[in-house]
Amino acid sequence: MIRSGIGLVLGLVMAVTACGGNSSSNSTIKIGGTLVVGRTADIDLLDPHKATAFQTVQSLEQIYDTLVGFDKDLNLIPRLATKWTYSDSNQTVTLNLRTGVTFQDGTAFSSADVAATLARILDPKTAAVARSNLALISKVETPDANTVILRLSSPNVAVVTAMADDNTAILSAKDIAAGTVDKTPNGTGPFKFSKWTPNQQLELVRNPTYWGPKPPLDGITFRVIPDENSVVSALESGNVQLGVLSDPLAAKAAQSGGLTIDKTPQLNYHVFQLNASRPVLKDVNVRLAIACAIDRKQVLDTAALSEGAVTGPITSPAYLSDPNDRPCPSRDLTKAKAYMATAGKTAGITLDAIVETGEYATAVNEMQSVQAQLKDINVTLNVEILESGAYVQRWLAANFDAAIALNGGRPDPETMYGRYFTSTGSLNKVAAYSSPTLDALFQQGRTEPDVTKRKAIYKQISEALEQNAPWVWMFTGYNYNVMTTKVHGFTPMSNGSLIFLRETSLG
Amino acid sequence: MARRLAGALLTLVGVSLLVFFVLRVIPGNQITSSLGTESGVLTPEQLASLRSYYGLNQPLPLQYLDWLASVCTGNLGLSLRSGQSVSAMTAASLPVTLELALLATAFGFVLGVALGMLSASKPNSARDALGQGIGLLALAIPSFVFASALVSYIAAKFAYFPNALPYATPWEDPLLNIQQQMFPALVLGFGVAAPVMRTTRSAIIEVSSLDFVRTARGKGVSPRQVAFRHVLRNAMIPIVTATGIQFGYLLGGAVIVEQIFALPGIGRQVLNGILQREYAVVQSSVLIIAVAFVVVNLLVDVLYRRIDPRVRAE
Amino acid sequence: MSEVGFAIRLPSVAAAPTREPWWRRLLASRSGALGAALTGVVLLAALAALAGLVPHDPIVQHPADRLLNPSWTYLLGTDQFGRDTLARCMAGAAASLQVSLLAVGLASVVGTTIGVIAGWYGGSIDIVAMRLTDIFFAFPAILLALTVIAALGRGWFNVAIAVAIVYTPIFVRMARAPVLSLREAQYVLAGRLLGFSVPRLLLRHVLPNISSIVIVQITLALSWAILTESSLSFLGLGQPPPAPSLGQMVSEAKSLAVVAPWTLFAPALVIVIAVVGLNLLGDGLRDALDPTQER
Repeated sequence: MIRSGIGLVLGLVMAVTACGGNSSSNSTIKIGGTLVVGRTADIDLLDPHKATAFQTVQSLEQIYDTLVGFDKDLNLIPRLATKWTYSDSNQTVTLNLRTGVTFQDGTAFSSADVAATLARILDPKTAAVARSNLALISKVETPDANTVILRLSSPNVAVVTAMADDNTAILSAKDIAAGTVDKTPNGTGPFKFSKWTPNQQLELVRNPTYWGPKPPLDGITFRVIPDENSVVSALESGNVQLGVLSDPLAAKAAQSGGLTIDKTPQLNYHVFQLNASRPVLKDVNVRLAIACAIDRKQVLDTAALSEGAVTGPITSPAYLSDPNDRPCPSRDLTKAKAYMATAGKTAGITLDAIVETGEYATAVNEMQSVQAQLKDINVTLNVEILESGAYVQRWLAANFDAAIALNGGRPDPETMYGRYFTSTGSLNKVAAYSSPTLDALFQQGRTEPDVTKRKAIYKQISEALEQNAPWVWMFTGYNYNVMTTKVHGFTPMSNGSLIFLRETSLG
Repeated sequence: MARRLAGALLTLVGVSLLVFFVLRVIPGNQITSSLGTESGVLTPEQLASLRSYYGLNQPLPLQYLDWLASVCTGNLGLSLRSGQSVSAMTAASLPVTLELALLATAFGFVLGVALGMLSASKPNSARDALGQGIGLLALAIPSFVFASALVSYIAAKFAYFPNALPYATPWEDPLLNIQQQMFPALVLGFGVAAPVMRTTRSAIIEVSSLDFVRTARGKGVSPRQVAFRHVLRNAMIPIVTATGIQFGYLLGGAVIVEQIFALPGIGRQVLNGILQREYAVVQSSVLIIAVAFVVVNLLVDVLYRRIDPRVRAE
Repeated sequence: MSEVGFAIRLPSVAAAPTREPWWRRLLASRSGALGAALTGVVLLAALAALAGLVPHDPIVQHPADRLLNPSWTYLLGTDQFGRDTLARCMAGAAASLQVSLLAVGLASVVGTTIGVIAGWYGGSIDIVAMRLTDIFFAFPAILLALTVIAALGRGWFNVAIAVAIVYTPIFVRMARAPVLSLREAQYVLAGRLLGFSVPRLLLRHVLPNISSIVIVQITLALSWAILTESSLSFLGLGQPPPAPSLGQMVSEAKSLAVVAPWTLFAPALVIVIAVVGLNLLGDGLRDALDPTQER
């Protein structure tokens, strides 16, 4: 009796102090609950070094950590690296690593894992997406368990920024050696892999040994709901608490449902890619004709209900391209036809174009808009609509004449385009274009420490890209994150990342 | 009976041949190119199992026999994306579709018989037109329109969308399971109701004109008793047969409804296999559905022969 | 029991002088008339679309006129590209009918031929034919269509092939049954004794007598083909955009349903009208062409 009485008093005392303690911090953050995220496509693989699809990256970045990360204003923040210093006129980077970190399987994290990860990324056999962003790393030294020294073959100011990319996620050296990376995810991140039911859902649970602040959520479930309208229905019924939408119409439908809609301008850009390595598109005049014949505003208006802005190549706020800085700032059929005549193609050409369904909602509509506009200069598009996985395969192999794509933007233009438009870029095949001028400009941009001068360099790159029209940049849209009123503490990012789910709470 | 079984077996062999050849029409490199490039998830053993399933680089008849042997020993191939075996996938998806088909058939049966009785009670009257009209509309409204409209309306109006939750099997959570199966079964059931209604109507009209019914009426048996005890009972045979056949169709024909309601059934398995270029998945799933269909038809046939006294007398 | 007790009309017996022509009987029945009317409307719309008699071009976009309500310029409103919904429905109906007519045409010709031959010769030919149809029947219809599309790829022609493959066995069965009894009919036996060639017997005497059954089956098959084609387009396996197809219009319009409901209802309604019309027409034809229904 007395014991329980004391227990009761103790409990009350604790409760009072706890309450008192909490009222001094912000509001009471409820711990617990599993957040269900609804989106229209499933992850396609488990290896972060190869992930290109948005939903795959969004999920894997919960499991794995990178050396550095971004805050909501896209400033670099420490993650597995607590400090980084450039020296030797930007040819050496010293990274101090966080201590006391373990992987989800219990292995201790050390510099050996960083070294193994970087080696794997730089190995051409891995076909890692981030390879060209890190290609300047000629040597990785690990003087002790908590320090990594990167020796670069030439100065590069963007190499640390490049390591905020989920494609550079730090893997365990043990997993790399055992070859299990693409089968059993094992990272240092706030959530760990629990179960993947393909085409249905991916379940993650809180990592109890996470080095950072304990995530309020017990777990995250990424659920596949093939139709964006069904995602809205699911949100309205409360079965899903966070929906990732790309369709402005679905977002509109969500407005009436008592849901919170967060609209964030994206760094990701909608683009009509041309494959300049194909004979039919080798002539820059043909490409310029196409660029001049497309009314980008119209594509934005019809396919995306005007939800967005016409854009040039570079979308990050610090280096933003001027969308009017191109041969045809608005649709100019006369000029387009003149270009076609110069190329000797007034009779017209036919292009095989691919577009995907399932990953984001506006793709097919964008294609239809472009298709109709290009008819006016006798360019015929033979459209192939592919399911997301099949599309990615074709896209990576550059097996197309033209493609409608939504590509990932980055805060730094070097990490955004270096891998595409330099001759050694890991995605150069997809970009199908490079030139000595661009190679030189990118190299300058990599090594120029002065911010103003750097901006000027990337302005030149942007102009060069528009004047050679390897791609037709169309618009940036919005990311719609729709939440029920139960979701708190979610910070959306302009690169579409869901990385702040680690701070989100339910209830 | 033995003859029926032999016939069914022969049909099954024919089905396997058809399935095998239809998918061989795909150019060989489509199948080979899907092996190995993006199959990072598969272990070497799994890759070998898949290769033996496809039996490539052999003359076609040998490939067929190899494939048949693989299938009979349970190797239904693998999903390249996830490394799951098709047999495991099917063991999970087939019961979902079976349950859906059963519920839809039951609902369609009840609705169809009711409408049929309504129509047949007074042929060529307004009642008849109503019953037939409803049946016709049920047939004509595409299931994808009905299903989409139902989902949107109910979710918006009542904030209720049980299919957004992961699928619950009847033993995991029977209450949720019923909620998740309810609406798709409703949509499919309407499609079943239409032919059942027609069969019911014509069967009742035919039976009603038979002598023994007139006798019963003449004897003063109440109209309700006549309707149910005498007419319906005897009309049941073709009605049940027609219903049984509809059940078979639903096994593979529920694909659209499964897609819209996100039910992880075998129809959706086939559709995803087609969209994702997973040929092993498509091939084996189609075979399984066809086999199930043949078995169901055989059972219906046996049932028919058991309950129809005229046939039994043969 | 009347004098004319068979289900098959004997051609040598003159029809009763008071018998009305079949089409009049068709139009006299309520369902037949309604069916004919509805089917006629859809057919006319499709033909108009093919002849280019559309209020606007179904594919041309008028982005300035996006998502307009029905008005005098755009009778059924416009979609997100400013394309006229009415014109697209008409063109979509034409596309659906084209695919369905091709598919059912193929299926009826091939199926009826096989069925007649199987029924006529019997024996092993019949057994093989029946076994083959059993095999095809073992596939639920949409599944067979999906499998064929998986093998052949997307596009309207492949959809037509898929539907044709599904429906051929049905025509085989339909055509075979009456042939079995026709074979033993008096006049046919007489013809054989007289030494008429088999093709002549089949074409002149057998075929006309099963024609009513086949015609009815054709209308029902058309209604099913339209539903299947729209279902396949809905799933994204039909003709790629911008060519309008009713199923695809419904699929695209799902997300527009809140802002522009007519873009969803119009194509759905066209499908329903076509299917209802063809079914009623089939029923009416069955009654009109089948002499045992006479009272």
